[in-house]
Amino acid sequence: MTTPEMGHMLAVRKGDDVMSTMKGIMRRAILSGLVVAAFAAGSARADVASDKSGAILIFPKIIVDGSGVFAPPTDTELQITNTSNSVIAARCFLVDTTPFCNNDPDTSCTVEGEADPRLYPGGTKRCPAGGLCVPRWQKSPDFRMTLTKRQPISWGASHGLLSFPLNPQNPPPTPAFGPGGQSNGNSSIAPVPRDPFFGELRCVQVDPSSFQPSTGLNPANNGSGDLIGAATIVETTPGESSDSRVDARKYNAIGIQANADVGNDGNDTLTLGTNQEYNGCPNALILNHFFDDATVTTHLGAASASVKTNLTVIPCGADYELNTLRPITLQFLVYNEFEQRFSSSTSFSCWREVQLSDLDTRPGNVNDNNDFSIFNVNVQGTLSGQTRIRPVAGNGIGNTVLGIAEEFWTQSSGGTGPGNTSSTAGNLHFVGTRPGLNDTIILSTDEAPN
Amino acid sequence: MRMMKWNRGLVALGMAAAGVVALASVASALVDPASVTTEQSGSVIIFPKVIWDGSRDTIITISNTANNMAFAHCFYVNAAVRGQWTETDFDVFLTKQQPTHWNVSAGRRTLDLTSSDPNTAGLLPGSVPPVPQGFKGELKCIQVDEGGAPTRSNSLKGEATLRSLNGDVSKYNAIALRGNMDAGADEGDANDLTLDWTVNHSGEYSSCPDTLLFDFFAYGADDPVISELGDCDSAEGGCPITTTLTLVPCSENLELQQQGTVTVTYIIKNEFEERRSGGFVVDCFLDLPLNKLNLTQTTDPNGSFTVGGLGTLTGYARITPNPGAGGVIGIAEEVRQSDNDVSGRATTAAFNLQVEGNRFDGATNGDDEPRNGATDHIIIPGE
Repeated sequence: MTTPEMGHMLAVRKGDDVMSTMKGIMRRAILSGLVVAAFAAGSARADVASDKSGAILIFPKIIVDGSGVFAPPTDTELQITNTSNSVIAARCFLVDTTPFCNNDPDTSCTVEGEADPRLYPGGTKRCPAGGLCVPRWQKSPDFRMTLTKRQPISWGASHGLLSFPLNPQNPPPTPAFGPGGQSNGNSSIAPVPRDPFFGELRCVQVDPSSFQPSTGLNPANNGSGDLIGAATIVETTPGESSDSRVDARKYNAIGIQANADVGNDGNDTLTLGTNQEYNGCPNALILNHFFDDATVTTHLGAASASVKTNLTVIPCGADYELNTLRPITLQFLVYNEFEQRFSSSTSFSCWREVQLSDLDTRPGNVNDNNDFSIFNVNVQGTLSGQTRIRPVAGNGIGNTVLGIAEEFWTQSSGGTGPGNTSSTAGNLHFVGTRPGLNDTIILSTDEAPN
Repeated sequence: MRMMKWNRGLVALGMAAAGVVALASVASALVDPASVTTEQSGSVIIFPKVIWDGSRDTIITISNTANNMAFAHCFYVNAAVRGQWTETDFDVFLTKQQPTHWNVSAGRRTLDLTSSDPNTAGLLPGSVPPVPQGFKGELKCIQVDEGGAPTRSNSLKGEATLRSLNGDVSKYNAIALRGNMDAGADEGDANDLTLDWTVNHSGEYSSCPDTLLFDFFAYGADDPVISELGDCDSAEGGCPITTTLTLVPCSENLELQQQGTVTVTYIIKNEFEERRSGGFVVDCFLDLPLNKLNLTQTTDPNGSFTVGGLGTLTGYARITPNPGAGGVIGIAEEVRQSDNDVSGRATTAAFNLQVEGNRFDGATNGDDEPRNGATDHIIIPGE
């Protein structure tokens, strides 16, 4: 009799790629050294990248709000693909960052909404009197997956993916194994633990046999990792409607490349930085944006909309074992189209989504306080700006940050999305790396029950 | 265990051979030169999809990420009429860290320091001409020095926002080619930009990718979120996801007005790891819905990228130029809509494609000598 675990292992081993992996790593170990020595000018490792595969894959923002508590009904569609021609595996860590009322932990809230209830669809505060909306950082049980050669998978965050496509239990005619006889074994993704949900997801490529961290298996990218991904946040008006509207925005997951020249010791402490197991996160982020509340005119004056930008940032490092958090201070350097320079700063601990104008003013827009932000068009006077975001060094686990930006374009009437709003999401630009060990990601050893 | 130890030993040997050199690498080598990038500044930035057709307008944002002046020579390539592409060029100059923007329908032509309209306020980045209505093509900006000669200073970044008259917006990052600052002066024609910089070859500019990695939803598949939460009655047309792929060749001769043509092959895996394959031609500019991605560019409801042909919700395509051909780059846009979308309220989400490898090495014969025609060049007109 075959247990699920054994079945999984057998499935993995049906292909010959697992064994060939060891040879591949050895070949690359030799070749990489020679390549580096021979071509010094181009030798140093890349930074993180959302346009290349990586060994750590990060989705900084996942939203589920099926009932439309904070916004129109929303879910996030997630895609992950194994880009290599070998069977790979990943351990994934979902973090729940949904803020909650400190006097009613079962009630979710947003800091902005509690400060300015007009931002809630209902227009009233969610926390009981005297309550504060406080951040949460709670890791869900991790989950594991095995992906066959170049296999894509997708799932909705609210539902997870309880049964993977190549499930040995699939009844005919649904395929249970791929062409090479491999399957996804007992891979399973749990749904997010609550609704509404805000959070992030990280997946770490691991050896498909031991499920311990490893480098990538694809010689074409020097073993830097085999995972790519994307997230699409979809909002819709609820149910059947004669005025139904939808809105979608998409970003690429951020990949952190393994450093095959250094190798991976296979333990649960992942080191990121120069000459570490993984590349270091960027020294600074660059965000080009329209200043908040700018009215952007297009179509030769025939169309216009007001624009706001939300920034989501997360620490590059994390401790999933002890759930340790340490604040990170961010310095913002803002240039407008006159080359006028402004600066601001803020700090956060685990995950922060914030409208740019709220970075240096009170949350929400009480008494139009956003008009006084250096991220607002009323202060800057020009339409677009360039903001450099530099995390201040000095934190033990996480020194650097990653993030994405979202734009919300609202028309006074018409428009395509719910609330006459249409949105976009995009990846930020990166600048430089820092010397030495920057960040550490410590994995936990628990696993979601299958 | 023994194998693991030997493996680690080899890694150590490799590191010993490389360590000293790697540690001494200059700052510019912090960036992987082996590939184009969509999230770092570069010396050539490419916006593969720019549209002004009366319905969709494009907002271009470009910024200088350096602390000294940046100059750029920009080229609009209008590919609206197949086989009759036209090029218009202009100069842009940006002060330290300066961002700028313009709508392609209007350009940016006047400096009015007294203007209270943020749409026109700011230091004029030069005179940016408008494009004619009906424009569909690409924008390419090449960093130059004060005299107009290409310079590899890697100071430019950009984004494009495609906005529809009905309010829909879609945004992507410009694709940047990094310039090799360590390669020294160009020994040949300075206006011939060679895209041959790879991890194995100290060339001029980043080589284009060898393979584009394209994760997609099957063309015509109902969106699962709208199906569950929104309005998606199959009797009223459902809520299909329809994706458009836009690709342009990396090679371009703007002096002789010759645009590249590249035949590519794709290999698709669906979620069952089932394989599909085929090819299509990128002739100057390709902008096609996935159900037309075939050699004849005609609608095929059972094509490899469609819900009828793929068999699963999502697929993974690897798009590779044929042997001996240069590279291609591009973006994709996903369109979602609820059922009975009579009012045209579809929502569009653009995204950058992921990449693997580089075309220069991928097209070599194994002896560092590229096959004829496989090295990409961007040739700009002389001053």
